Amino acid sequence: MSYLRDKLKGFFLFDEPGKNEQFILKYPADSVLKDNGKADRMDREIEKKLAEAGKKPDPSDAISDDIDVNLEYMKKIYSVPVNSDIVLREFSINYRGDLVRAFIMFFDGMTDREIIDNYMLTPLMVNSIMNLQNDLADGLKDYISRQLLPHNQIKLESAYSKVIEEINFGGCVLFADGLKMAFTADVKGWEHRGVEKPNNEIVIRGPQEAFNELLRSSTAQIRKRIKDENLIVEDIIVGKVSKTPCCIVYIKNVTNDGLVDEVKHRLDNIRVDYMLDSGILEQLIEDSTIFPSPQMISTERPDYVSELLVSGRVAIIVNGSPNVLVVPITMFDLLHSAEDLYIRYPYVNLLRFIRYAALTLALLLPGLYLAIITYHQEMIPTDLLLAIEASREKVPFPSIVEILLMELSFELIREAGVRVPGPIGPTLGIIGALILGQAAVAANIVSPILIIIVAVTGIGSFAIPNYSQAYSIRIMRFLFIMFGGLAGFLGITLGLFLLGVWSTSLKTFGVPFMAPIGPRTSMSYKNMIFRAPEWKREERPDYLNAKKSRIQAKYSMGWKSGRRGSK
Amino acid sequence: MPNSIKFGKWEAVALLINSICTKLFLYYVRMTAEDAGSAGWILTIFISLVTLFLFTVLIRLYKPFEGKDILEVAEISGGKVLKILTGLIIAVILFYQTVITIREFSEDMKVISLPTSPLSYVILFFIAGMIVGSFLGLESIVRYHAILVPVIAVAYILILVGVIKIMDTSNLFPILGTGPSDIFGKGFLRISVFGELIILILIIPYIGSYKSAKRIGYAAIGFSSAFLTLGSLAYILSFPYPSDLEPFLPMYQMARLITYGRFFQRIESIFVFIWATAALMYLTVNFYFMVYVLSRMFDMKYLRPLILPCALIVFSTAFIPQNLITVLNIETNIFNKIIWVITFGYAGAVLIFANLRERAKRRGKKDETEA
Repeated sequence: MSYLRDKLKGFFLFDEPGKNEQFILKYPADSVLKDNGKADRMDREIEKKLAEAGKKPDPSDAISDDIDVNLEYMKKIYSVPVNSDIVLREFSINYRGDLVRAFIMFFDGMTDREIIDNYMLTPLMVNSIMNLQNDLADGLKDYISRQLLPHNQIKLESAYSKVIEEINFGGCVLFADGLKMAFTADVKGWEHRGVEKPNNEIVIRGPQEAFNELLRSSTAQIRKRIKDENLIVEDIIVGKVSKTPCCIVYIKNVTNDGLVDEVKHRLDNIRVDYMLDSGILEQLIEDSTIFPSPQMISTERPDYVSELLVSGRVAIIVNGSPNVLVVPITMFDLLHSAEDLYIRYPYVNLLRFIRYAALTLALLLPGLYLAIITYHQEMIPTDLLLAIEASREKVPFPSIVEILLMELSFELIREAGVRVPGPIGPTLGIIGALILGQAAVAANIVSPILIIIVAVTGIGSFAIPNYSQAYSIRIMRFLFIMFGGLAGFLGITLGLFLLGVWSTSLKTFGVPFMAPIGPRTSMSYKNMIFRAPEWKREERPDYLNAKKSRIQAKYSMGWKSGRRGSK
Repeated sequence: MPNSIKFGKWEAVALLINSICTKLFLYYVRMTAEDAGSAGWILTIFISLVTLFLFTVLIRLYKPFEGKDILEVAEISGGKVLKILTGLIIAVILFYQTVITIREFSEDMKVISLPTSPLSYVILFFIAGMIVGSFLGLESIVRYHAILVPVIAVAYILILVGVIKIMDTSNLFPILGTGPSDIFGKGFLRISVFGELIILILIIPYIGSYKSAKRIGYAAIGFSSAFLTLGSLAYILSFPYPSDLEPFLPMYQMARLITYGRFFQRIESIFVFIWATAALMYLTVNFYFMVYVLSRMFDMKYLRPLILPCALIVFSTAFIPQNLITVLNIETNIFNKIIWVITFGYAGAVLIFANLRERAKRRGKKDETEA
C-alpha cells in the first residue's frame, strides 16, 4: 500500500532523480536480540568457559595451536550441540608414541561418509599406531599430510574464516593439538540429480539433456558443447551469508567486454544475505522490476544456452538451481524455442507465425470480444450477431462480468492444476470441463461463445514458449479486458500504446527490449522475427555489438562450390 | 541534456511522416476537395513541390548550424530574447495544434463508437496517452513510431486498395477542378499542411549531422506527399464532388464502403485502431515538444514537472470550441492557412539573421587577425 502511495506521489510530485527516499526496516532493540534461544545461552557458556581458562581465540582470525581453544571456537560458531547436522568427532593420533588430541568437523548430508571413514578417520586413528616414519622435517603437520591422509584434495588453512567456508561448502576439517592450522579435505557428497531430460522445455528434435543443481555439472555441459578455449567460466560468490557460488559464462573473443563487465558489476553489487536460486538472482539484476515481461531467458537446456552464448550473450549459473539465466534478450527472444534451430526453416517460420498469433490471441482476444460486444456491434456480420445475441439472451450478467467470471475460473483451474498432486490431476480436468464447459452454460451463467473465447485464449497462452512471458501475458490480458470494457477499441488502442511506449523505453543490459524493430538495427541476423535458412544465418545480432559479427562464412555450404575433395 | 539521446534516420522519418499525415484521417482529403474540387490531388502535388523547394532553402540556411536546434540558432541571432520569443511562438503553435486535434479526434471517436460517453471521458484517454508517452521520453516515442508507422501505412494502403472497386474515373473531371487559380494561387497557403516540419528543426541535435537532417527532411516530405496524394486521389475517385464536401471523417467514410463478400461488410471499426494509434502518436509528439520547448526556453533542467500542468491546460482548453464544426473551421480555414508563416517564414528569417550574424562575427575575427 505504501508502495502504491509512493508511486502515486511520485506521479504527481516531481522528485529530482537520485534523491529517492528508501524504506528502512528498523533494527530491533538490543534487548530483544539478547537472551533469546538456546544457541545464545550456549555461546555465553562457551565464552565463560574460555574466559575462565584464560584462553581466547586470536582476534586476528588465526587458528590457535591449543586444541581446546579451537574446539570451543568451532562449537560456538556452529552452535554445537544445538545444530543437529554438524558432526564433531574427537579422537587421538599416535605421533612418536604420544597421543595427540584431534577432532574433525563436517556437515552430515553434505559430505561423503565413506570417504571420511576410509580415507580420514581410519588412517588417522588406526594407521597412526604403526608409527611409520615420524622423523619428517615439519613434524606432525607433515606426518598427517604426507602419510596419514591419502585423500587427493587436502589443503592447509590457517584462518578460521577459510575453514568455516570449507565446512559450509561440504568439506571436512581436521584440527590437531599443537598445530596453528587445520587440514581441509574436499569430501563433498551431497545428494543430487543426474543429468536428466528437460521437464519443462520439451523438444521433439534436439538434445534431451537438462541442467541439474550442480554448478560444475552445468558448466561441464556447456563446455561439452562449446569446445573452445575462449569459453570463460568466471566464479563469483553472491549472498553475504549463503555465499552461493555462481558462474558467469561467456566466449572471450565474441562477447562484448562492456556486457561482461556490466554483468559482473551487477552480481558484485548484490547486497543480500541469502541468494538461493537463479529465480531470485533474476529479480535482483533485472533492469525494470515493474515491467511485466521477463528481461532475461531462464532455461534448463544446455544446448539453448550454448546457442545463446555463441551469439554473444552472457550466461549466469547459480549453484543449486537447474535454470540458467542468459542476458541480454529482446522481446522476440521470448518467442523463440530451443527447437527452432534444429528443424528446417520453413517449419520454424510456420511455428513462429503461430506463436505470434497465439501471443496476440492470448493478450487481446477477451478484450476485443468485450469491445465488439459492448461498443462495436456494427462490425459483427448480422448472422453472427444474431447467433451471439441468441446465446447471450438468457445470461443475466453484463459481458464484462461474464468474461471476468470465466477468466478467473480458468485461472483458478490452471493454478489448481499446477498445485494438485499427480493422481488427482485428471479429476480436476473433469471438474473444470464440467463446470466451465457444460454446467455454466446450462445454468445460463455464461454464453457458449464465451467458452470458446476463453478456451482459445487459454490455448494461445500455452503456445508461448517462455513460461515467464506467458505469466506476463496473463496479467496484461486482464488490463486489456478492462480497457476494452472502458472504451472499446479506443481503450484497447490506448492499452497497446502504453504497452508499446513502455516496451520501447526499456533496455535489458543496455540492449533495447524492442530491437531490432524499435530501434531498427541491422536485420542481418536472420533469426529474430522469422528465421532464414541455416546457410544464410551469417551474422550475430547487431544490437549485441559482439567482437566478431560474423558467425559463419559467406558461403557456408562450401561443398556446393568446390569439387569433391577440395577445401 | 538534449544530446544524450541519438536516434536513427528511420525513427526521425517515421516521426515526421506520422506528424504530417495524421490529418489524412481527419480532414485533409475533404479540405483539398473543398479548395480545388476534383483537382485536390493536383493541389497536393503542387504544395508538395513548393514545400520541397522551401525546405531546400531552409536546410541550406541551416548548414552553418549543424547539430543546433532552432532555439539555439535564435539565441545566436538575437540573444536570449529571440530564443524565448521563438520558443514561445513554437510552443503556442504546438499547443494550439494539440488542443484542436485532441478535440477533433475525441469528437469523431464519440460519434463513431462512444456516443453515450461524455466528451471529457473520451478526451481523457488521449490525455492519458500523452502524459505517459511524454513521461517515458522522446526515445521511446520515436521508437514506437519506427514500429507502428509501417503498420499504419500498410493498413492505410489496404483501405485505399479496398475501395478500388467503387472508384470511378469520371469523378476526376474536370481535371483542373475549380480552376488553376484555386490550385496554384490560393492553394499555395496549403503548404501549411507540412507545418509539422518544424519538429525536424527541433530534433536536429538528436539526429547528428547536417547531412542526416537533410536526408530525413527529404524522405519525410517524399513519403508524406505520396500518402497525401494517394489519399486525395482515392477520395476524389470514390465519391462524386458534392459528397466530397461531407464534413465528417472522410477516410472513415471511405473505409465504410469496403466490403469483402457477404461476411466482411462493416470492417471500418478496425479503422479505429489505425487512426486512434496515429492520433495518440501525433498528440504525444506535439505535446512532448511543446513541453520540451517550454523547458528549453527557460533553461530548465528537467521537463517532467511541466507535463502534468500542461496536460491539465490542454484538457481544459480543449472544451473551448463550441462544437466539431467550429473545430474544423479553425483547423482548415485559419490554422492550415497560416502555419507556413511560422515553419518556413519565421524560421527562415531567424536563420537568415543568424547567418548574417555569423558572417559578421567571422569577418570581425578576420579583421582582428589581419590588424
